[in-house]
Amino acid sequence: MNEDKIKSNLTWGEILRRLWPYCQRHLVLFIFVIFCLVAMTTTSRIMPFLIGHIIDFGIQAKNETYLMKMVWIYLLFQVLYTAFQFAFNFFFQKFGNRVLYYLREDLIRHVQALPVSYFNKTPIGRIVTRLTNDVSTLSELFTDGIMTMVVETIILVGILISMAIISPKLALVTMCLTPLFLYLSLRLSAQIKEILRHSKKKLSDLNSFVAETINGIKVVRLYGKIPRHQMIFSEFSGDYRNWLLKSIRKYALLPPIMNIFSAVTIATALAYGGFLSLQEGIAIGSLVTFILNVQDFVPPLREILEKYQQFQNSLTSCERVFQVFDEPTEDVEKGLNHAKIQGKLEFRDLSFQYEPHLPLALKKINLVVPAGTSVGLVGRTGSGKSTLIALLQRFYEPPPLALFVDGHPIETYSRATIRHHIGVVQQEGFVFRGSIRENISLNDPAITPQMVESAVDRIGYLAYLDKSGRSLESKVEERGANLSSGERQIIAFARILAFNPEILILDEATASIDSQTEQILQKATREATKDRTSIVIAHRLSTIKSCDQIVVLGDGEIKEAGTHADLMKKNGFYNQLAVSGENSILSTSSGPGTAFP
Amino acid sequence: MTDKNIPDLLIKHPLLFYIRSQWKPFSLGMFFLLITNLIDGLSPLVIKQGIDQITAKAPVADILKTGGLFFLAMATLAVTRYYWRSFFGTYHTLAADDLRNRVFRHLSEMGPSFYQKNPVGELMSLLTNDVQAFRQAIGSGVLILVDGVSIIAILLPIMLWLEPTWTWKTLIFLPLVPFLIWKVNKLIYERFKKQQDELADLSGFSQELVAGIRVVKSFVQEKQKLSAFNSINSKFEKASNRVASVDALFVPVMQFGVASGTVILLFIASGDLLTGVATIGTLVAFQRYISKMVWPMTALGLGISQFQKGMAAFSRIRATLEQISDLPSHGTLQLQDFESLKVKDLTFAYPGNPVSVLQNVSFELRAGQKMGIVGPVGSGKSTLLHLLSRLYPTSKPAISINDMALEEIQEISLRKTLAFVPQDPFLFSQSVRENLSYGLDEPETMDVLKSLTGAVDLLGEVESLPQGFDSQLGERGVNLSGGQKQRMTIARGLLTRAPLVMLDDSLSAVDHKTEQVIQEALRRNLERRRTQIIVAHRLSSVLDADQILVLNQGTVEAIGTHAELLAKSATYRSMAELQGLA
Repeated sequence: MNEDKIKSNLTWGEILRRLWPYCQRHLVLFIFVIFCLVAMTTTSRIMPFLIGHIIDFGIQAKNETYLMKMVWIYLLFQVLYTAFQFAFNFFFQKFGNRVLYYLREDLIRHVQALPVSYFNKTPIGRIVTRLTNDVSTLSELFTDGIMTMVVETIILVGILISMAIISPKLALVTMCLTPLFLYLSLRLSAQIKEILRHSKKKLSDLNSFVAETINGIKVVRLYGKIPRHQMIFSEFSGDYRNWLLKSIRKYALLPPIMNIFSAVTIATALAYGGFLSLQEGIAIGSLVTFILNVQDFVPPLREILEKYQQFQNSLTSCERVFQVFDEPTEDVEKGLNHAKIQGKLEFRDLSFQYEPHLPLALKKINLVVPAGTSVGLVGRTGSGKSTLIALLQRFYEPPPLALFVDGHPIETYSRATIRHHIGVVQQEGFVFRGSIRENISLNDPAITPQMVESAVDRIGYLAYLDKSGRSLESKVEERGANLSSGERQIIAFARILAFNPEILILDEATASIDSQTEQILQKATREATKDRTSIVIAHRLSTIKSCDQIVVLGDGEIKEAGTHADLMKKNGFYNQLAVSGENSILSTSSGPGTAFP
Repeated sequence: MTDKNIPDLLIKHPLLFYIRSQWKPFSLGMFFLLITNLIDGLSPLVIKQGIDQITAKAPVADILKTGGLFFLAMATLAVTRYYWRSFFGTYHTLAADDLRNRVFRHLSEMGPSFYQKNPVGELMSLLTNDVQAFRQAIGSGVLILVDGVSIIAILLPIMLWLEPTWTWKTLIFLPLVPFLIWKVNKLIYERFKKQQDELADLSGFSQELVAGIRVVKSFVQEKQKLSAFNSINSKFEKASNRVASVDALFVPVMQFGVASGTVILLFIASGDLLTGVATIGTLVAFQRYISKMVWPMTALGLGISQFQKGMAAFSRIRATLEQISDLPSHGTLQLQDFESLKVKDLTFAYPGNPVSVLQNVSFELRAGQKMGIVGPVGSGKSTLLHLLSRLYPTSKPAISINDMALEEIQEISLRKTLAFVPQDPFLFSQSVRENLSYGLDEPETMDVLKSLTGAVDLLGEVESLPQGFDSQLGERGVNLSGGQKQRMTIARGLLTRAPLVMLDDSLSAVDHKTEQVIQEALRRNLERRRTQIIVAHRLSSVLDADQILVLNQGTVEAIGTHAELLAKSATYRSMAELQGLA
């Protein structure tokens, strides 16, 4: 909920500490970049001295040959400076890109290892923002912000050293007002930052209002509220505009402050320098060198202030990225690994709650599922079905010694093993961009093309594809936009058949699907549950009837259990549901994961 | 263009339009800018005077005077610089605000075919990014150009007056600068675009990975995904390095003008300096002028490209502004009360699709009646309701209320007469109370709100929310379940007290018991008799209707009561049998 938080506790030192390990991975390039930087700064400071030297020992001394020689040397330094400048800019960016490559890689690796509870608690949009916008901001901060600040600071130091070499006294007098101007600019920057924060907030208010209006344009029109929305928009826009105007007026103060600062320093250098040159005989060339240095002093200072202020806001982004890194991950590999399992499941007094303050999601579940048999789960939303699945996949940790696979506690297996052997077909089959084939094999090297083909052939999907003029290589758009929801679930089935886990969890789809897809799905259900330990959250009576045992869940408890015939005799909840019709929806189910807090 | 919201001049010459409408801050900004450039152009002459005085060992008082003069000039500069910035900023900020409002007004009045063609994201980007780019074009784009030209116009005469031969010799390479900058910019832009494409891939991949994380974890595909990510990651790095290689050229190219000028100056000035024709002060001042000339040269390149970008953005805005709504609200007739709804030979196809969704649909509904509409998925039920509530335009008038053609009825009057509750429940990110009273002009009393939420079986659930009726909904607030949202939209529709209510399968998400309660609420109207049109999958919702319309592939298969339809409609009968109602 801290999305609006703009202020950050992150310090520049902390950022550097976090990024340093990445820098170290390319130490040679790093050192070369530093070398270029130092060389660039040094040449840039020698050049004003050359000018001064030319004036004093060439022009004033009327030594033409020496003068020409020095002009050539000046030209040489100019070329050198340009070369170093280019080299530094290029290699620094290259270095930065490398660092960011590693950072991105690490971040993705870390995110993938985060437990499912993190993804349930955090909206997708927010996580994606961390991975995209926030990382981009971080990279800008690194290549533009940090680079500029470091470079300009070194240039400033170079200028101060040059001035001190000419005349420490003159340097001290001209620069004595620097802290005052620095203070003024920083104060102004702070004010601007505050104003920008407001205007940013106003802009995001404006944007969300627009998004909502457009998304709900139907409702807006239905209630005749278009004029009202236009009015509200104009208020939002006006608010935003007023903050912008405020920021413009404040911004307009910044250059004048710098102006006056440079006026004061140059005027002082002229007046006091002129005075000193008469008094102590500072050569006119040195004075010119000094003034050239003074002139060079303001731009870097301005640049530092600008970047400092510009990137203050980015600190929040960085902080959020680092926060993701600080989230604890789950270890997928730790634990026993079994290449094959039998598939017997056992629940012993399994109770579970997501958080200590939340009510129990499951209460004392006792159930044995012999290997190769099927269980049908029936129950309303919130009855604990999703929780049961999540525990079986070790997306959440069940209490110890409550859930057994082949007689061993589930927690003794590695998560990777458990997930290898327990496959899930979700109601909303998720598909990735790519081909249908890639969506079935997931590009796993262990899944051969033959395995994919046999899977789709067995459920009749291959024939279906053929008939619609497509093949396994046909493209799947983002989120499967070009597939029906039924087809997405077919792909999820094919995936399971290809990966062939010993245990299957199936959440039957409720969405309305056409008869052809329906046929394939029913065939796929039969095919997938055949000789496989299966837990089926069924919505069709026909599916549930064929299960070896049926469990009715309610409020996290097992309300009824038995075969179809047993339960019909009991005249309980199941009976009521079953009687209300062959095609009726047995259990209202929500999308995956909605049971989680 | 008939739209008063969009003047012709804005479409044809947006810059001219805004200079004219914001002429005051614009001309004041320009005025102060010119003064600033003039003073800034004269200031190196003061430095020259100072250095010459020092070289000539003039009295200290004179040198101090020169220092004072310099300071005075700079102080004036500070004031004028402040004013041009704030006036100019005011000009383009107000212009952008004006444009933003016009674009939004226009968007909000567009019809469904517009929203079908333009995804929300693109419209948002139009309203923010494109308006911003336009603002930069008429703001900093114009500014940079004026600034650049005026600086050249001021500096060149001074330099010529100071040392004519030095001038052309030192500035000889300067015209190359805009050309080089333009070249480098073009290269940067091309490579930057490529980099952005790669970044989009990277983002797309991350987005998909997060959305599909459960599949990734279920199938233990973390390693595969990481290596797939890294191949995109490394493409992005390469593209970034290609940008860097030209980006690193930018600064050296920009400084090429001063650097070459200064070197040439040193070569050619030495003779004049040795003979005493020119002074050291002139040399220093001249070097200042050369470096001041660099900005205008850079500015020309930058200003033009910024202006072009902004105008490209504006052409997108223009294209949108020029689109005409397919759902214009020209109607003037007022509806007093609802008497009848007549549909005659309604045929409809979605734009760009030759297949008719509805064909020759005709029926009549009188005040106080209840009508059910049933039919298989895709038979045109939803489309029919959208046409009845004028969310889609019909190609020729076929629908009338109280014998007035739908198109002729004044928009607000029509909206107050009918309440349509669409299938997908849309709520605003406001409080429950605000959402419920959305359709009203005046907020409703708590008692009415409570009785209505009670009527849709939602009162208990609303009261158990953290802030009850004041709880915020949406992203930053509470998330309601689909069924809760659906019931909320029903309550919102009923609250308007519109005499004609249309529900598009809104009852599908509630259980049977709740449905009964809602049905009761629908019948038991608050003040007037209420007319209902109910689209339903569950036949039990429409059993008691005065007439039921059976739609099949866009045509009316039959109209009648439940009993009549069982006899004459095959579709209806099979639906009834499936649901155990036959």
